[in-house]
Amino acid sequence: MIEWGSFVIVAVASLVGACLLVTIAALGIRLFEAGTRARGVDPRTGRLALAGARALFGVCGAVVLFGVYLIVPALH
Amino acid sequence: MKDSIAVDISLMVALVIVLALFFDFTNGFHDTANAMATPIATGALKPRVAVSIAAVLNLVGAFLSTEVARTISGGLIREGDGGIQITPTMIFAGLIGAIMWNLATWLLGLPSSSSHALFGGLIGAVVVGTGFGAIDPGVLLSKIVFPAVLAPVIAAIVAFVATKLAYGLTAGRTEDSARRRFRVGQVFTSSLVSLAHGTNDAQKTMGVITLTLIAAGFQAAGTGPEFWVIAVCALAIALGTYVGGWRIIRTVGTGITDVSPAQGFAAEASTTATILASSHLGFALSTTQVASGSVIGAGLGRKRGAVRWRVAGRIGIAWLVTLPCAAAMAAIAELVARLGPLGVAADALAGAIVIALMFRRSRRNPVNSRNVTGEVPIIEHTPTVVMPKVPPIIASAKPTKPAETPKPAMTEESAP
Repeated sequence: MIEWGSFVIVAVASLVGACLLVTIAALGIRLFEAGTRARGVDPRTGRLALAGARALFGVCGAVVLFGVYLIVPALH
Repeated sequence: MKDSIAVDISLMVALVIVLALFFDFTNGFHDTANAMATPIATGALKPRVAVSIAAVLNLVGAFLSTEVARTISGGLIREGDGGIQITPTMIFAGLIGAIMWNLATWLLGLPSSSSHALFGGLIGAVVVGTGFGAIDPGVLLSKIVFPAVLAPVIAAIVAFVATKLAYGLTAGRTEDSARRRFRVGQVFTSSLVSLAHGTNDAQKTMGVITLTLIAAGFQAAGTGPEFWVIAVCALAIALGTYVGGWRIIRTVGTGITDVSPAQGFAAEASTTATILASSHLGFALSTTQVASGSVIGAGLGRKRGAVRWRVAGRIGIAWLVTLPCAAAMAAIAELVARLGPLGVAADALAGAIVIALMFRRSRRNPVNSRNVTGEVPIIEHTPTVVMPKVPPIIASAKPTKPAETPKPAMTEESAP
């Protein structure tokens, strides 16, 4: 009666999706802070960290856009 | 059947459309909390800004949804070929039950599923109209009862893990800066929830109206919703969202647990992921139940974070009784409506009076954009008018800060 198979798939997908987004965002935040702090001491490392943070924020943006893609039926 | 035809069919259809749009409106303002309760609670978005974004995204979402509802009840009721015919009168009674329940739960500040209220109302009306044989108990269990239990559990687990991750990975970082960035993230995740809501929920009302028009012979069978139907449904849900069910927003945002930006982001990410997964991988879950479950999970995931189980328990009870209560009210409405035109008129009048009474009752302790992040009173039946908290040392008459009087500054009710 209840489709346990699809339920498990939904559960796993939700867990993976949410954790992925949170991990990327949190790492981005962490790197950004490290970058801002290191900038005064070691400009090169600081710049690198900031660039990494921006890249991670960019990935977050891509995840959000993927969400929009999933929501809008006309896109698929 | 005879009874329902007794009322002029086009008048009945007009009544159903009006009620369906009002239901759509309550659907919108009931569900603003799903997307916007946590960003409002953490200060990521100002209350008015939050409901405006949600309203616009619901409007856009409603136009984006293209899937046509083939059945009113989603298979719960054996309708269509070989089954029973759901008459406009039944839909009318069902909508009355659903609206009553949505408003009652709003008055109590409880997030409950609008779809369950709608299905409950239809079931109640159809059972009175044609008997219990019209209901498919298997579908009822697999589409309503089990998902209702599983949705909050899975959302809570996902949000719990996500919150642990968010805290763990940013441990020791400058609090303020991390909080600010999580707040920015919340804006995006909650917007996604709003958009998803618009594409899903407005479509339900479009289905009800379209199928009513088809049943009454005003529209060819098998055709999709007319443009005006899409437009008015989109507007109704957006307006409801903008008006904002502040009572429910307060319960979800500050009643269940005190949400920090990291928790809010984790909760919203979990809600978004769970809703998107459920709607694309074939296991429908109620947005309302997912959102509330996420907030509970986020509360559990924080060190020394406390979930107010009394509030959570009340929400749980509301979920359990949503379907039967809406069904009972719709059943009564259907019984009366079967008396003929006078019965339908009596239903409409009684409904209008009850709605007016509930709105009047809500004014005794108003919740709006100004006090939405305040404390949630545990006892909801306090007969007192909300008094401004007077400092106990009134005799000393020092013009100190008036404890908790909200500032009637920018977020004035009538501002935008």
